[in-house]
Amino acid sequence: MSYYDHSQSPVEFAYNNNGKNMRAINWNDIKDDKDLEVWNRVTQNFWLPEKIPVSNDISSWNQLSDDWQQLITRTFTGLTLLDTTQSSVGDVAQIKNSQTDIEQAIYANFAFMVAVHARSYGTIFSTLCTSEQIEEAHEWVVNNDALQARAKAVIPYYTGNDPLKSKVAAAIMPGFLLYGGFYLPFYLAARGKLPNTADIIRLILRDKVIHNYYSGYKYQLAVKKLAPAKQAEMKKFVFDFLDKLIDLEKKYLHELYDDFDLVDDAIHFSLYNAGKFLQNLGYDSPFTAEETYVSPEVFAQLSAQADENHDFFSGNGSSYVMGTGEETKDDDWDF
Amino acid sequence: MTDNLNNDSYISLNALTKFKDEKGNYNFKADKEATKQYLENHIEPRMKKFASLEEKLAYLVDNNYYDKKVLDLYTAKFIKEIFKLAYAQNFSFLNFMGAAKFYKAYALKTNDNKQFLERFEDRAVMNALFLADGNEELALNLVKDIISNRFQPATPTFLNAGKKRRGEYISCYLLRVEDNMESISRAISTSLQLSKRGGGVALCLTNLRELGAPIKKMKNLSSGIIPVMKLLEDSFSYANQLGQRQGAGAVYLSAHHPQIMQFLDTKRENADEKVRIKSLSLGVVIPDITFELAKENKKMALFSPYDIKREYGKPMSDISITKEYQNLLNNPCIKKTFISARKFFQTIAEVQFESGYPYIMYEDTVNRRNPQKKLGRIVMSNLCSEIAQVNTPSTYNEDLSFNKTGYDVCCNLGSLNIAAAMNSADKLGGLVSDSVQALNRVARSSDLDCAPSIEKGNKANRAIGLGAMNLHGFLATNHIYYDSPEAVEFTGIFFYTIAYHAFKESNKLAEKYGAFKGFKDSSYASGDYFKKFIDEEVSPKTDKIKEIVAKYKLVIPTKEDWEELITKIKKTGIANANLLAVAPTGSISYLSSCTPSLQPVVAPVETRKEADLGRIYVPAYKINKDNYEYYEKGAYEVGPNAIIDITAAAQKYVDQSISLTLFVEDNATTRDLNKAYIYAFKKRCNSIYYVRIREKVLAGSENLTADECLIQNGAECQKCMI
Repeated sequence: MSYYDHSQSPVEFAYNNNGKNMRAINWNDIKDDKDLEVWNRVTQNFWLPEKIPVSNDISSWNQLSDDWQQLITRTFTGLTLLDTTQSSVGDVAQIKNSQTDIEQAIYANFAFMVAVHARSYGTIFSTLCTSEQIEEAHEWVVNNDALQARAKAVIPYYTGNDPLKSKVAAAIMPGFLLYGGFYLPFYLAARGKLPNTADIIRLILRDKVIHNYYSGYKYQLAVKKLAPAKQAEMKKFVFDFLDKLIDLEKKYLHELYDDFDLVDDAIHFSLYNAGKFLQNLGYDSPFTAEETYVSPEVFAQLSAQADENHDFFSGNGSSYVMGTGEETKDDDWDF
Repeated sequence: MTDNLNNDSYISLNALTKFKDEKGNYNFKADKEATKQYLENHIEPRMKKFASLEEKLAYLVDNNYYDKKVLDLYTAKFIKEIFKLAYAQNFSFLNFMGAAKFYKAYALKTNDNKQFLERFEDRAVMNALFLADGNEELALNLVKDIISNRFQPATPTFLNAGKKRRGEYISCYLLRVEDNMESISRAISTSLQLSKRGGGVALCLTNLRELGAPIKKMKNLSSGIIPVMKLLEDSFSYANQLGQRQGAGAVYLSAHHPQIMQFLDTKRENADEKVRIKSLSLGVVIPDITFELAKENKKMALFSPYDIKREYGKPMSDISITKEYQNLLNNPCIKKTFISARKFFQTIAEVQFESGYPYIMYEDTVNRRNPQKKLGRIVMSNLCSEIAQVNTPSTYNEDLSFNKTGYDVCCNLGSLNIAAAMNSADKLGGLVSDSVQALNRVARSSDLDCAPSIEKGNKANRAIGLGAMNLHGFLATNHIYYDSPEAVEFTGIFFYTIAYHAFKESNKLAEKYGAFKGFKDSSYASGDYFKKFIDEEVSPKTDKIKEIVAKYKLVIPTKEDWEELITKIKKTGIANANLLAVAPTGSISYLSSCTPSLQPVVAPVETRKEADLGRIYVPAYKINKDNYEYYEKGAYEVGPNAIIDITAAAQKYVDQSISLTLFVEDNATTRDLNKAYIYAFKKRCNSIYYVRIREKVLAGSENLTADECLIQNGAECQKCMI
């Protein structure tokens, strides 16, 4: 494409202007096939929480004791803070750190879908909780130092000007930070609690897996081009950053789950996903099997593969997608 | 039970079933262990204990749990004998799902929901006592049929039989709605009434005038069908059967109704909240003409029901769109709009990708099979798309009382477990006879006062729907692939045989109860209906099926058997206007730990989520190392055509319909789904139920692979299969 070299994308013009004129995104010029594959997948996976009949969980919710209700509300509000951060700062920051024009569009999609995730916790709250419960949980989020520290730790890399570190921070949210919170709905789903809420979490997970994967993929692409010394430096950064976040995570999970006898398994689960996060960036997981042992009923829910067979009369499931339209041909109508 | 937040190990053990061990073997033993621990540690401590059966029954009757009237049909001595017989059958649950399903959804519990009052054997006895209606021999037969899983009553019957406080025994109801406010109001209130008693309700909206149609000849006033759907959806959410089953409903609409596209769009991902339909099921009634127009790539006309009513003097559902299409087109008094017929089918597929809906009823195929053509047309199906019966319109007075009561439909169902039934195939005739008598009893003892049109239809027809499940279980345990010609051949032979015994029993019942009301005008009486049973000889062709028939001593009725039976039927009639219908068996197949309906399993170990149970891992019926490969090709692997072939083979001999679910991977397109409807249409299937989509994870995005290890008790290493 002859025009390409003497032009720049609007985001470059806005943040890093080299004086050239701006070009439009060109879907006829796919520079990385992965971009198109991921775009197709994320648009096919578009969903809104309104399609899930969360109100069918009201009786299940009412059977939970006050302290469980409070735990769930707080956990989900904590997740909401992380998604708010990711949506409005993290993914948006990746737009200007993109390696291709299509990548910019994909992160714009991520930013929107993560806003949908944050919104879907709101759908759960408005359906199940009282305003007081919601207010209490938001107050708790604002005042919980361990939670705040986790969210604050990633911000400097989003706002900073190192694109690679920013990519790591973008991947670590859907790859690691959220799983300590996801542990709870998985634990509940295995016990038949809040089944429709569990559908929403599965839809969120379906997206997170792709967001993590794509950021990791783009990170590996960029790292490969670096000199060995610089590569080693990045590796050290990733492990140090993860160590710091794991410490914060443990502290947070103790505060959250200590009274419920969930904390050990939740930490294992979190470490398991930390290992997966590292593998996704191209590094080996340093964690032992014992450190990452998770009870099978929670572990079995981790796959985003939509193979869960559900009962239509009580819910909508989490496997439906936007179909690919294809017109029938004359030969198809052979009857 | 309220104490669900426990850490009992059975939950972990059940989940382990999903993983392989270090040698690559599945952990089917873990599920057996989960079942054992669940029963020993979770159920037994919560089982209310009694010193004797007498004490137990006295307690249950005195405290309004059991219905004394049912027990009083028999002597005390007999009651003791039948309980003894039940407990002598050595019943056990085949998998954890079966046990969990029974104790969560079926077993009687104390009012405070803290203790169990029944085991499976007790529930089986109460069903047998109720269904046999005082006939001791039948009761003894039924208790053995039910405990051996050969016959399983549908959920509403199995759940409610013999209880003092209970819902109704009937599975589903079908209501017509006519184009006036009285009919709409009555439909909503009847839906509430029926939901309260249990059972799904389907309503036909084809006759309602479209959005913008005139009211009292003033144009652009009608709000159309969507607000009616909204009202119905909320009504169903409100009502449930003593908290045991949430109310559920479906609405059917003709493909040629002017609002068909809006109807489909209510299930769209991005539908506006005001028009979005979340929990109401949708079905589309498609006549042959729609397929023909699509074949020729023509536009299809949508016709105003309001104008049709005025021009024809009857509601839209009561004329054949296929037959009248040209006349409707040429009639200037009928308002019409046009859409592309192919686009219509494509839209159905798009919406199915997003939501699994709509169901499809092949209108003309169903009506060609209709044994009561003189009574009227089949205009709709039910919540599970296996019912095909005639509804006729009612008219109402201003206070909503009936002016002229038409026929609406109810159907009570039960299923044979094919593998269990084949295990004593030499007694198949007896089993079908017991089952038909049991369902006939339900048809004759249901209280339908709340819905006079359904009561009238039921009184006239006494229709029943005997179905079957565990086809894949039978095939796999006999080392037959689901997608093989042998499987299709066996299915045809099985249903040919079942149909014979069902008609034979209904003919016998007619001696006692008389023939159903419209028998004389039906194609049973003329003999036309039975042509398909004598026109071609049904006998095993392939070696494998010859071997199966011989091994199990299955007796296939001969042409002479049929001719003799038909002569008898012509003379004395049959007691039930319909006999067979194959339900999806969504709950009872889990209860029986068997494969659902005529469908293949979705996976050798299914991941199942249900509202009352949570996520449970369900190993297929009697799965082991030897038969594993016959389960490995599941519903998504065999694809729609194999399932359609099986369904078509059974449908030939089934007088109502068969719930036919299509399974596709997410890389399928709308064209693939369209081809499946065309194939099902060509093979003369009556209906399509849900479309289920399985989305694979994006390649490389999940590194949860076979090198995963799950450590159980710190030692054993489990290879992960997710």
